[in-house]
Amino acid sequence: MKADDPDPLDDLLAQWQVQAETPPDFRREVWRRIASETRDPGWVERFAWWLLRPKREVVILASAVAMAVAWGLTHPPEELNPHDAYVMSISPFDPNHLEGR
Amino acid sequence: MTPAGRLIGFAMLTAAIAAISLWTTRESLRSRESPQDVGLRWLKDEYHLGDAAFERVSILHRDYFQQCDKMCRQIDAAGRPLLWRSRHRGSKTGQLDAQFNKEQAICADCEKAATDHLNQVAALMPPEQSKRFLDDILPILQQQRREHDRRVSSSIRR
Repeated sequence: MKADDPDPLDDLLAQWQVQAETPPDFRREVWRRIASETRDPGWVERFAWWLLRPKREVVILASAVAMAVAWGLTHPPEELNPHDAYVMSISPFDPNHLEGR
Repeated sequence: MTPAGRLIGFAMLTAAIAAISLWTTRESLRSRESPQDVGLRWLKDEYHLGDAAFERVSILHRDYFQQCDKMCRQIDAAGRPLLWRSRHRGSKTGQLDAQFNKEQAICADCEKAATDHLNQVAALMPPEQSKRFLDDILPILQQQRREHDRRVSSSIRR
């Protein structure tokens, strides 16, 4: 058969109309079946769904930053003992001499 | 992405941001003074140095520090083959002895230079402070030398 030969089925298919009516609860039934196939979400999904909202994420991130800054301010780095600093700077045998330049 | 994956990703992001915040905060509080400056300030306060004496001590210290840095590198270079076991495992005893003697000679020179520097600094102090200064610092220098020698010797004996 050549590609441009009309198929006799084309006209027939063009005239075909579906006469069937969908039942009144068709949509509800579709959703019921979908729901029956879907498993219940576990606690991880429920927790993630509850937590991962934009506003809550912003609040959590801001709280983490605030707590980290507060911890840093209340736990500053240890200052070098001035006596040890002097010894470090004059003793060639001090293990930290070169690191402490 | 699965909900569990999103939760883990969010937890890691939060931890990373918190860690960066903590590091930045602590670094901003860290003193910008070098150990040399901290040490010199301590020396001035502890031994009641006047401005003129402190100025001379600072000059002495600056000159000595460059020398000390050089000595430190020499000790490091001479001691590395002795401390690095795998390097000298195959070495002959004669080679090892020669390396050890060279290292000890450098250490002796360094200790003498450090002691001379401390005596020069002490000479700029009032007599009672001078004695207190030498009684404080010299034993530490000698102790550090002994610890250094012990590290090197124990490495050779292994």
